[in-house]
Amino acid sequence: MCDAYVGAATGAFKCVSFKDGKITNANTIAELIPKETEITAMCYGDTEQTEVIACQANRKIKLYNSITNLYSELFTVEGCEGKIVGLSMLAADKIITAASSGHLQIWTPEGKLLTSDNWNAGNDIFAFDKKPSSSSIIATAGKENLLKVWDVETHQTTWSARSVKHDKLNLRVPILDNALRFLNENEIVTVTGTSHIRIYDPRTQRKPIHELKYMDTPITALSLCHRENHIIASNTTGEMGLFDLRGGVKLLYKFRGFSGAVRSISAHPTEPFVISVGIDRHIRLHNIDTKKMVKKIYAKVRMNCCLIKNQNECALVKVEK
Amino acid sequence: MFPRKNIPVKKIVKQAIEAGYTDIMIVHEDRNKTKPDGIILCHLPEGPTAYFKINSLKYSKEIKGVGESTSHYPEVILNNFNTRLGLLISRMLVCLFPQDPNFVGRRVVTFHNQRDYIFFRHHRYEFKKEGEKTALHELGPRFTLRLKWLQNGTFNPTEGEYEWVLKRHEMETSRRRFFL
Repeated sequence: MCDAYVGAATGAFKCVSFKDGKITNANTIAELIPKETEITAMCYGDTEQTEVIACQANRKIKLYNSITNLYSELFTVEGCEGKIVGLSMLAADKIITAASSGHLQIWTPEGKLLTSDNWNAGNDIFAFDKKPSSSSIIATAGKENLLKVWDVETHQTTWSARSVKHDKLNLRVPILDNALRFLNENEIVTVTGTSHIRIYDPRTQRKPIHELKYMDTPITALSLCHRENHIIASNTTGEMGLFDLRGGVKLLYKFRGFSGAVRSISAHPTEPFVISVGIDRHIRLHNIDTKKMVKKIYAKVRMNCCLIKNQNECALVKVEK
Repeated sequence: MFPRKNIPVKKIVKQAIEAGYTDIMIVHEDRNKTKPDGIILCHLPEGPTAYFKINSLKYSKEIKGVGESTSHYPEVILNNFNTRLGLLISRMLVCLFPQDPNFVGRRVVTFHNQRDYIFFRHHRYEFKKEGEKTALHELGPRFTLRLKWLQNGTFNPTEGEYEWVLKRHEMETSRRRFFL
């Protein structure tokens, strides 16, 4: 049974079963052209998680239906440049895409553009997330692009962050947000290329309320996990850690077993499992409570995105030595 | 071969890409400036960057009975690079040499991988007894390399993504698992 979906840098869309240790490709490899078909973002198409929407480097949106096992093309995102950084389902028939040129667009699954105006979040967006409890609030952030919270209906910024103070040498800290998540009803967490993890609270102030510098390489991947107010983040040298965000940012422990940069982390919302995927061509399943690596599967290509399924058999996987 | 004169590495990489070079190799020396310590091998234009540490270096002058090297293009032998990472590194090393070996010169360069250490040797060979035995005459320096990290893209240790990093405490727990 499929436990997770992984999108590769060559464009292969893989279904992973950790119990059997098997990976199956949903699309034909021979048809892929890595520079164009590289999968840049993935999200679930519905709440039952039977459909997965993936977008490629050439901005084609593809739909994977897990019941029919078909990987078909939906439409091509036009009117923006750069790769699609974030993707989310707003409602049953609306998909919102964020491109790295800053264009935020809402589409129907057939490909009709619903937003007619030029809704732009600024150049060079790297991070995008939708607030899980509401279908009209999203946030974007990127390179020299401060964190902004948008209202989907009015296309306006409801709140934006301010840049942090200069560092100890009185140098300007560059703004390079790599990933962001809505932590809970009130707080937003971002991870940056300057190795910082920052928490913002739009109700109180525009500067981050807490900040932690985690090692010295850029932090590239972020995920919430089954514990409330905890996140899992990882940087380009493969140091993945569990952080407690109650009252500050504190590193609880690091996960072992990585050898290369991690590009995407996906943790289960209620079970203590987390999968991580990166350019060292392995998919790793860790157990958050026991801190151990449960399974490591070799997938022959470098991977960009991953999604863990709510219904999975991870608990049945035997821990490998 | 040029001295670096404190020019930032990223600038060198940029100029080299424009000049059309295929690889850059920067040799570090240790703090007391006694001997070379590390090699940064950067494949251009967008290839991976590898950092090796040099152990047990012996110059040609120090090797007993050393022969004089010629300028024939050598044959390159790559031994025991079994894993995916090993193949990548071996191909990076091969790129440093011209691809058409001059068999007349009987000059061979060997990169032998054993337990994650790469041994570099440089010989002239001669077949004896009608091809059944080879006699080797050592030329040139000998040293061992140890891969410290491999990074995607050109030289950018602060911001680049690492495809492989040697983490001693995590990785060297087993005596039988090797990475190259």
